[in-house]
Amino acid sequence: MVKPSIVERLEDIRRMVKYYESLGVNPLALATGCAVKVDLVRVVYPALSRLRPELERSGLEIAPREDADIFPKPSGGVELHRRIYTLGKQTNVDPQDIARLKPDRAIVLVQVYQGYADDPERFAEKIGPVYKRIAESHVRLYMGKGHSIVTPFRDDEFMLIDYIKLLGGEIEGYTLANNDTIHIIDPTKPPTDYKQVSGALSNSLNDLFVLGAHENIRIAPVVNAPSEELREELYHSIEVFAKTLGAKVLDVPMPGKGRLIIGATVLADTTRRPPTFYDRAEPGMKLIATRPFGELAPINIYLAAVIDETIVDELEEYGISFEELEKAKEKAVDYISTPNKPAAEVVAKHLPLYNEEYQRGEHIIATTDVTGPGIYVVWELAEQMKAKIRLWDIPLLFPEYAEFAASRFILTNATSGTNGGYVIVAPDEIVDDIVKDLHSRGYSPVVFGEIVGKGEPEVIAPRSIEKYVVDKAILARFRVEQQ
Amino acid sequence: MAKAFRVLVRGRVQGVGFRHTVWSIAKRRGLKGYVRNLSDGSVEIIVQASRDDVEWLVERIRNLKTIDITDIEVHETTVDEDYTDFMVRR
Repeated sequence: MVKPSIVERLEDIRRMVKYYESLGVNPLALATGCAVKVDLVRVVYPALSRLRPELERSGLEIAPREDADIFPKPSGGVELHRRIYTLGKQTNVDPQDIARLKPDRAIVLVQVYQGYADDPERFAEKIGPVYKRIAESHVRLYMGKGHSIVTPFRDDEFMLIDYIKLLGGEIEGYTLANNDTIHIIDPTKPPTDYKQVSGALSNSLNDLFVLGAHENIRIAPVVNAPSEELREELYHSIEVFAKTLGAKVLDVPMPGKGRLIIGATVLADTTRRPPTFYDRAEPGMKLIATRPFGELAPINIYLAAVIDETIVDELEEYGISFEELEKAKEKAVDYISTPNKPAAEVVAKHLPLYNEEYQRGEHIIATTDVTGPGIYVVWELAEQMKAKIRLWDIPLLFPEYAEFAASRFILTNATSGTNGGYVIVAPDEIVDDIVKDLHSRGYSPVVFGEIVGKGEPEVIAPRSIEKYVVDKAILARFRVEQQ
Repeated sequence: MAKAFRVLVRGRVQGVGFRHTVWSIAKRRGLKGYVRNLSDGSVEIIVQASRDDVEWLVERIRNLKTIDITDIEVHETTVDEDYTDFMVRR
C-alpha cells in the first residue's frame, strides 16, 4: 500500500503533467516512448532517397545519416541565416532569397503532423515540395544535418533551415554543426527550471563535444511556448547557459508556433581532426567510458510510478524506497543537464591538429556518445572499426534501477540515456593520461573493454547485460559470456 | 483458430503512453497478445490468457492514473494464431 505522503507527491506531479499538457506536450507519453522523432530508418531516409536523384540534379545534396555536420573552417568564419518555411505544396520558400544568400550548407529541422510521420510517401508529400523549391534557387547546397519531429497539431508544422555560409580565407580547422530539440527534461519541475534548458542545449551540443569541438560555441536557439512570458523566461535561461560555456547566442527568428519546444542549432570550432580513424583500430586498444551511463532508468521508473502507483510497492519490495528513487531521479537530471564540455577538452587534447597525420600511440581512434541506444553504441563502434570487442563491464550510474526498469519492462534497454557520457577508443599508451585528465575534470571514467581482434564485427559482453537489456534485437548483437 | 479475449478501452487513451503501460503490465504478468490503437481513438488489447488473468489486467488498467478511461469492454473472441509474446502493434 503506497504511503499517503507518496500519493500526495505523485498527485503533485500529475498536476504538473496537466500543466505540461496545456503547453501542448504530454511528458508521460514521451517517457513511455510515444513517437517524438520521425523514424529515420523507416520513414525519413526512404522519403529522402525518393527525392534525392531529382534534387541532386539541381545541386542539392542531402547528407547520409550523420550525428553532426563537419566542414573545414575558413579564417573568415561562417554566417548563419535562419529561414522558416511552411510545408507541402503551398510552401513559402523563396528561391530568389536563397540565390541572394548563396549558402554552402544547411541544417534542417522539420516538424510534421503525426498523420504524415509514419509513412515515407506521406512524409515526402510534406517535405518534397520544400526541397524542390529550394533546388529552384540553383545554389549548390549541402544539407548536412536533419532532425525531424512529430506534432499532434495540424497547424504546428514547419521546416526551419539554418543556412550556413562559409566566408572564405585560409582553412584553419573544422566547424561542426548540429541541431536537436526536446520538449522537456524533467516533467516534475516547471518548464522555467534552468535544468530544462541546460539539459536541452547540452543534448544538442553533445554531438559536437564528443568529437572534440568546443571552441567558439554559437547557439541559435529554437524555443517555443504558448505564452510570450514563458518564451522570454526560456530565452533568458539560454543566455545564462551560454554564459557558463562562454558561448554566443545568435539572434535568429523562431517558428512562432505555440507548442513547447526547447532546442537549438549549435556550432563549435576545433583545430583538431575529428576522431574518425576507424581503420586504425587495433587489438589491445581500450574502451574508456568518460563516466558510467544509463541516466534514464530512475527517471522512467519515476514517471511510470506517476501512471501506475503499484510500481512504488514493487520498487519497495525490491529494496528501493520512493525517497531513494526521487534522489536518484534528481541525480540523473543533474547528469543530463550538465554539458560535457570538459570531456570534449580531453578528447581534443588527444587528437591530431587539423593539418597533421594521425599518430599511432598518441591519438584517440574513435568516440561516441551513449544516448538513446545505450550500450548498443559499442556494437555500432565495432561495425565502424570492423573490430571484435570484449567488454568486461557495463558501467552504469544506477545499476539497481536499471535492473528493476528492465525486469519490469519499463525500459527494454535500461542502459540508455540523454546527454550521456562518451565511449573513447584509445591505444594503451594514452589510456592512463585520458583517465587522469577526465578525473581531474570531475568525471568518473571506467576502462570497460578492449579490442581483441579485427574483421567481422563482434561484441562479447558480460552476462550482466541481460539484467539491463531485455530488447531481444539489441541483445542479439552481443555474444554474452556464459560464465 | 485460438481462443482469446478482446479488451476495448475508450477514453483519452492515445498519445498518452497508454499502450506502452499496458505492454509493460502484460509483460510483467507473462501474458501473450498485443495492444494497438484503433482509428476511432480507442485502444484494443487482444490477450490469450485465463479469465482471471484478464480480470487482473483490466483491474490494473482501471487503476492507472493520468489516463482518462471512460469505458472498458471485454469479450471472448478467436484469433488466427497462438501468440508467443505480448507486443505493441502499430
